[in-house]
Amino acid sequence: MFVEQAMPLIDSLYGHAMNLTRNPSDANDLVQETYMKAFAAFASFEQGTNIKAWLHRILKNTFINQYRKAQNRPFESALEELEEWQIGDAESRTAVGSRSAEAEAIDHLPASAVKDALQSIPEEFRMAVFLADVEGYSYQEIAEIMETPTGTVMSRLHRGRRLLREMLGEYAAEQGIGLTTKGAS
Amino acid sequence: MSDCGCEKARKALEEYLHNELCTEDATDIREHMENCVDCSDEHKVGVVLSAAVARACAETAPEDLRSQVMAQLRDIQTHN
Repeated sequence: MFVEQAMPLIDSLYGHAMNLTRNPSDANDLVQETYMKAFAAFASFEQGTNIKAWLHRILKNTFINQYRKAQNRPFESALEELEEWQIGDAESRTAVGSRSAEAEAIDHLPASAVKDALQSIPEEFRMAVFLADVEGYSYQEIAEIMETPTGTVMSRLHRGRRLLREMLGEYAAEQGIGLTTKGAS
Repeated sequence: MSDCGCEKARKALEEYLHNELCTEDATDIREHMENCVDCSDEHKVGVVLSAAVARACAETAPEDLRSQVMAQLRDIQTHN
């Protein structure tokens, strides 16, 4: 029963683990621990509810309890360090010129650049963006996984995407990717 | 047909992108974008950004990991 329901989700859990730990070896460990914990707690899982969200929540909590402890950094600290003004407004200072040029540039960026940018944004933002844009979760499901109100999910998602967009725009301008050259506006 | 305007559209674009709006609101946004290049371009940036992230983060679990997990689960089950 557990195996049939949980094993098909291993790619998705591994993706989440990679997104959090940022390296394959830790991601491997994290996924294994997640499965063991989930198996042990499976009796408490309410059949018919969202097993994917349940497993992702276990993975997130395992990560916070073990890996973050090892890094000696509390989960929430990154957010508090980032004030709204530091994030800025992507719309008003886009490095690539017009919006269509920006879309064109982002579309042509190498995956490695997108990954690097994603890995450099605060963890809470990264997780929200990952769950929404890679896993296609609804805001309600993300709220369940992250154990935060939906409003917090929306704000993390918005700020994460804005940061990402800004970084990718800058990267594209530096690399000369896109239609307009830097300084044209 | 009344246009919901840029201000409302901009606020709702991210929710529109993630299919979080009710049908009615989504229709308002769609109709506004049909007549507003600025907002539809802004939406395009959002779509492309989501796609770029999805492309960059798609992962397949290594075969080894899959078999390790299966072996561990079998192990626990036989010991219980």
